[in-house]
Amino acid sequence: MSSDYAVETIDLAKYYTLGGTMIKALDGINLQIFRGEYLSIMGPSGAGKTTLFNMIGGLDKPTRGKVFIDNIDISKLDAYELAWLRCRKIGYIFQTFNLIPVLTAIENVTLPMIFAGTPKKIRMEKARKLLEMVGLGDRLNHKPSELSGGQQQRVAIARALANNPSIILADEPTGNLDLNTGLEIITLLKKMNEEQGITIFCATHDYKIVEVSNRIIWIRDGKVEKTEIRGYVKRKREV
Amino acid sequence: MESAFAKLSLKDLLHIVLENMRKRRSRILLTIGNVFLGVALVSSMMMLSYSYTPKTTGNVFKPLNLNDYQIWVTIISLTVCVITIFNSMLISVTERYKEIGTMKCLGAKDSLILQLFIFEALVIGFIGGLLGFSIAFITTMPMILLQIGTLLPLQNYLYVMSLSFAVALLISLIATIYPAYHASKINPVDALRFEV
Repeated sequence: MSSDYAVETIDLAKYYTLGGTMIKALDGINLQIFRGEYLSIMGPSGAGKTTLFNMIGGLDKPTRGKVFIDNIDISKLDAYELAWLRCRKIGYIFQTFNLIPVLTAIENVTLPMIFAGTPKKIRMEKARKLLEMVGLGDRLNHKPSELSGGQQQRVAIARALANNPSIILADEPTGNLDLNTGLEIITLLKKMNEEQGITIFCATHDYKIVEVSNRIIWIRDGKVEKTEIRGYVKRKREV
Repeated sequence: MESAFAKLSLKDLLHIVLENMRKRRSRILLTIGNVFLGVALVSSMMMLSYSYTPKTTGNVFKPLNLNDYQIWVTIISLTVCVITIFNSMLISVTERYKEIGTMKCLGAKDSLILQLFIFEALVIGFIGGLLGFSIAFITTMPMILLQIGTLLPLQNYLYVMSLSFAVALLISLIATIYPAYHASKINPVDALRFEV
């Protein structure tokens, strides 16, 4: 496996049996995500976007095929190692933000670092920096219920970046936001991608995200329908 | 890569648990009240039982003197306590389904989720036990004074106190084992899709 890939899937498939019929949520997906790439997955509801998201995120086991994250075959990992992988290598952003309601913004951002065992001083400092980076420097001690949707998603982005993951997985990050706030989030993600070289994998319906992506993959019925390249990732794709 | 997990410090754990309890204080108070009632009953029964014992002179430790009927009442009331706490803890797990799923998604191990709930149970048990013993001490004091003219020896109170705490911690732990295990086994994929 070339180390150019942040994520690689080989013949990835996931079948469910629902009410006696076999549903092929994913059916042989071969996908390479380059480091520093902004990749969008488009497709109608039920096309398998979220299933793909779960597979790459190490949340679900495939029926067939393999997923490599940083050249680690995640199908070979046990639950404990998967937790480690999710903690260190993957950052998640959800449609519904999924912040911990009882913790403040800064505590939410420190949570993955607590799980990773970062000392308190370092993690508080880092969380503050991350929150300042996403433009919430003045909201450190607000609870999620005291923040707007867009602000909550910013906290979620800061949280996703906490352990310097290899890849950020975003499942419809703008799905619950209005147009303008959605655009702000997209711009923020793009900024992170360009300035810090963070790899972003984004499942979406939102055409605004497509505009900023390096590559867009359309999937339908669990298969890659077409791939569109918008812009090359400078550093890695030239190799 | 196995070595990379550091243990969550007690302070962080306690912080998360206490924040959680503060947020959901009404149900937590009910649960504490539950432990409190159970413990108050048991410990006041134990204290009063001493007053029936024939008077021994001086500051001598007296053995417990519960009759069958009292033991029955104790067992039944503690069982009711366990069931109610169990119920409350299960509701708590359901309420936090998505939260637990998110934590697991962010890399929390099963054992961490288990610890969160067990810790909560210990805090509830401790507060309930403290309240239960204190109230039992205050309410039985006049009766004991009337019966034997003096307070019980200090050793007896210490004995009842340690038993009360043991009972309080034990019932809240027993009631929490299954809900905590259930919570730790939550599948993040299901939890993230879950809407309350």
